[in-house]
Amino acid sequence: MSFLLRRLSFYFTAFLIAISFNFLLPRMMPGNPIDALFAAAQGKMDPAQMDAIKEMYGFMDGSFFEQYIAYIQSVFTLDLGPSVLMFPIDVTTVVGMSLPWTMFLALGSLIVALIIGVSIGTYSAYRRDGFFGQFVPPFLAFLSNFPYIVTALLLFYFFGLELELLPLAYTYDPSLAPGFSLEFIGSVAKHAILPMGSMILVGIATWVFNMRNAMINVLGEDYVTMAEAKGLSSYRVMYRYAGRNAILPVATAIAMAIGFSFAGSIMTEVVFNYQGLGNILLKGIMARDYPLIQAILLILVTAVLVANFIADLLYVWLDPRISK
Amino acid sequence: MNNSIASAPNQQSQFRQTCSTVWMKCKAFFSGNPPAIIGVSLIMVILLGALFAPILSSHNPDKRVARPHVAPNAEHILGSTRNGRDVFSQVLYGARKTLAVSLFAGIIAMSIAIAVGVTSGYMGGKVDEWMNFATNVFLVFPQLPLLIVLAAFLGQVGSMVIAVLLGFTSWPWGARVIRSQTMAIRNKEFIISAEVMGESKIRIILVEILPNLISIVFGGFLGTVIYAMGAEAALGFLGLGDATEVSWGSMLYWAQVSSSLYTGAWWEMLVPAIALALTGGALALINMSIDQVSNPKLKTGPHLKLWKKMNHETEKRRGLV
Amino acid sequence: MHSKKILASIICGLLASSSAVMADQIKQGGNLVVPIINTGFVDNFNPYTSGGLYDGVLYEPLIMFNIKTNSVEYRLAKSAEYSTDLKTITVKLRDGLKWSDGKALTAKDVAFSYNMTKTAPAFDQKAIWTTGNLISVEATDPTTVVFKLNTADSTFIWGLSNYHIVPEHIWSKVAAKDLATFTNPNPVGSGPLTDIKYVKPQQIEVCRNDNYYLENRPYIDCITFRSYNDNSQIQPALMKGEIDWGSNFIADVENTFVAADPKNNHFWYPANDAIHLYVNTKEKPFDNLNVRQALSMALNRDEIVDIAAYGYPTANFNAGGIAELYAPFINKKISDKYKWITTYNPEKAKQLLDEAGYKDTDGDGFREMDGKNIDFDINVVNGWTDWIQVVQMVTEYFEEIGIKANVKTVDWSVYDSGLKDSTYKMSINWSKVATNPIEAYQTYFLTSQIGKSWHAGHGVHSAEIDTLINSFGLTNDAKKQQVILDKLQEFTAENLPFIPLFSNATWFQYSTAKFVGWPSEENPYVQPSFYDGGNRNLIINNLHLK
Repeated sequence: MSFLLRRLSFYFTAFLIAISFNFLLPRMMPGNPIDALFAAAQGKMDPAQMDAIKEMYGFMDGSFFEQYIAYIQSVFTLDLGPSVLMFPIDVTTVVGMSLPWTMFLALGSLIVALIIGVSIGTYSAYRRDGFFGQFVPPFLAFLSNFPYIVTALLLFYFFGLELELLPLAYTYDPSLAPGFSLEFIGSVAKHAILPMGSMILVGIATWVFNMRNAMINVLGEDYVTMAEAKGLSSYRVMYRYAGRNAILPVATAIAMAIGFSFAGSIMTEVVFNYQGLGNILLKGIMARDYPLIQAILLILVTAVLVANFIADLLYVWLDPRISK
Repeated sequence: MNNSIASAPNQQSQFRQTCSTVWMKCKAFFSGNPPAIIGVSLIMVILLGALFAPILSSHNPDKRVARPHVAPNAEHILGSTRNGRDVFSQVLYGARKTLAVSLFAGIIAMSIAIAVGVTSGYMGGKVDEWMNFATNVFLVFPQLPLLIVLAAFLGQVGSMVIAVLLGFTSWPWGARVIRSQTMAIRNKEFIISAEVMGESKIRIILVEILPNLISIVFGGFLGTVIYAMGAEAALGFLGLGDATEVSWGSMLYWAQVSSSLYTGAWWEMLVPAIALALTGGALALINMSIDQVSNPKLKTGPHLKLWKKMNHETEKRRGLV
Repeated sequence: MHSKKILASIICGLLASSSAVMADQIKQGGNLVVPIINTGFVDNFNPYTSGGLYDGVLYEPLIMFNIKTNSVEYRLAKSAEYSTDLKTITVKLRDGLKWSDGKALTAKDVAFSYNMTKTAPAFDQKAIWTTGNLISVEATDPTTVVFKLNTADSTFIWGLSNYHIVPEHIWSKVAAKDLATFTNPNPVGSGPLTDIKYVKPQQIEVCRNDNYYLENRPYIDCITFRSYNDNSQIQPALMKGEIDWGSNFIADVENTFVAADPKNNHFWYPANDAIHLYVNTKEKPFDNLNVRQALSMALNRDEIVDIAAYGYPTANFNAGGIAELYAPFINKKISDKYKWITTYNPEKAKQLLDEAGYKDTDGDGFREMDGKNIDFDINVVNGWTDWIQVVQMVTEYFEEIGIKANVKTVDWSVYDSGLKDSTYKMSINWSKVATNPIEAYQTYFLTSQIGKSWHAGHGVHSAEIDTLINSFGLTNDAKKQQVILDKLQEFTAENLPFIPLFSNATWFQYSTAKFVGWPSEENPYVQPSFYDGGNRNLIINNLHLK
């Protein structure tokens, strides 16, 4: 158990550092929300109103230290104050609106990429001298390393614009009411194909190579040769013997990948106008909406930390020697 | 590796020997390895294009030289942008900027990664504990969002600032890999014997350890370059870069701003996008090939078959099979 | 505002404007779909904090000043009159007004609405309480509201339309400190559409107010606001016919939007605010009038508009400081007299620069004075791409006459303080959009505006001009007022504190597939800007099914 405790205390410290940095970040940088508000109004707002508006948004604040204490408090009570962008709605409400979509996109694409990637990786390791093992991994390496934004744009252009096969915006058809109707779920699925597809394309090679390399290492081990010698079917050897052992290093990579997946979601959401966190983050940045930006970074950090901890648990479960 | 004690009396023959070793290695790297050949030749084309941009380009990339959105034709072989810039010239000059940013970011990131990783892995103890802690903290920070926020707050930043930002935010992964590799090496006999012989730590790190990390460092470097290129393009696309510079990212940005895809001027968007895609893909192919060289187990194809066959024959001769 | 008193018009302006359509042909119904650029909708119906989303929809204006027709449109009010000393404004409400919840809307509500902005300064949009000269707002009887002023000011009344009339029986229950964060759930209003059907993150539907004061209005049943990320997303939606009314920049609108359905898809881009290059005349070489004139003559405005903005804005050849938005007030004579300044003439520009002593002595293609190169930045805000493109072209034109200028993209805060504190050399900026051009001149020249307005940092000021501008409010005589405006136009053209470029376009795309009654070039009954509650209100009231 001491292993998990050590990890927990690390995560807590990392969290504290992260949120402190999160606090400092906007305060170190030029520009403030009210400026941004006036900029966005492009002359429609009277400069004479500046002070009154500052007060309304609560930017008449105390000393640096007081602000920091108040901030830490607000983080732990989850009371992050009103968003500037959507004043006077609370940041938590705003984030709550879009977080599920980002999680859906990030985790959904991660899982699909993982399943496809691991299968291809396993198979291409097993058939590494055949056409599949020769051709598919390099091809995927090539395809997967297009920059996020490019993959998204190309899919957007060909499938959305040119072929008009799939919708170009939104999480679901805005005329539908959310609910467990077939129509709604279908609409959500249809709207998710392109953004998720682009994220899967980008993510897949990681798993193919992780799995393939781990698998090739394992395939050289004695017990696999033994299994082969016993005349077990290749399917059985591949999945029951080699696969299970090879998946261990892959499991640790998942924690890292969650962070990447969330980050990738941000770019993808912008291209596909998917109404998730990334979209809001970008708008928040443009509006210098500190509370909102901080809340979103907070969520991303928390997501990565939680993912890491789950990976730790998984590791302990897979390899009990570690917990000692 | 480099620590060959053999000192040839004839300088020239040593040089020739080195040359032939390099040649052999190159040959070994490419032969029967189409991904490496494709990757390297693509990169060569792109690098040459960037290098000879002033000669190859037909127009000044910063000047209005055409009507808005002229379709590709004899004069503007890749068409013109909404602002009347020549896309072909822009993509060549953009390559310079984009590659410079990515390479610079890669160099910064790998320098930090090596410094942190090797020190941490070799020194161990408290130093390792602290450095590893710092690395892990950096690792849990979401890079891209952080980068977006930083770039936005700094105001539309020049490409070199982006390179530095990218470099300083993307070292932890490399550091972690290098650290574990260093830890694996440090207990090897040749290190221990060097320590026993009383060599200085710096010398051990530089002469004994680093050369053994080359493939891993180079692989990490390429990975960072690919990542940096994507991030630069993303920041540019989001309008967080300097829109007055010509890079592939800023080209995407202007293409987006002018709704070029909707107005039918696909060339403005697709040309830089495909340039980015090819470069990223090509670098990945090279990276994959390096992986295979450094870890021969991963090597596939005719080589492996040949090796297997030979191995089989030897074993047969020994009467093992 | 041509008469000394603002007379009550018996027929509402609306009926007059839509007189082309016979009442018996009009079909009731339909759902108007309008795009909104935001991050998604939330339940906030406070008119002051909801980004103007419900102006003219949930909230009916008291009075509206129509710049397009240069007339007054009475909405909740049936008249508004100045006293002869110009110190009192008496507003008469229509009889029998009702809130959407059926309660009576009286002068007390109106007085409350204005007085509320005194306790909530953030709502005081025209700063009538903090900096203005308003003494009191009182309801003297159920349909009469009286505004008392400290000093005579005939321009004061224009500010009244910036305030929202809210029901006292709801808003008086909100504590003063909570006003800013009050989200006004289940809103009660007096506008044409007040019934909130639903609020979804991507869409809001608001339907008709059964207690609306105009018979049979609105003709439409509901309005749907749909959330979009940016213009590039609205473009395909418009092309696919998902939106009825666009107010966004659409690239190549003829070949994309109009071409998608030439019969129904239309656009009309009348001139909006004038965009100028503000010049800091306190700095060399801009202290020299010849240089400013030369720089102005170096620009091919038609070409700039054509290339940098698809030809949608209107090139501005009036050196007098105002442009086509204020067309009725432009003095043609003065405009013609100074036309040479705004006419593209690089040869003359070079000659002027030579005369001013700026010559290329070292042969690098750029002019110097006393061995020092002229080299200056033109400030533009990050990401304001249309302006970046414009300024890029401007620098190209300057280069042709041997002047080195650079595009400098800066953060808004830098740009903003640069303009206010006059630390710029040259900066592109808009000019004031208001009811009357005098308000634009106020921001250009009043010494009291230096350091506050974005447009007063150029350094051309005088006590005389201050007096002239201030004398405008002391009269309500349109003729006398025009004399003042003429003098100001002449003054501006003579001194050229900024280089006029063009008038922004009012982005307006509309589809007649479902609805007709849109303002258009043929029937310009109102400036078609969606983001103005009064304009929007008139248009909504005019639309009906085909």
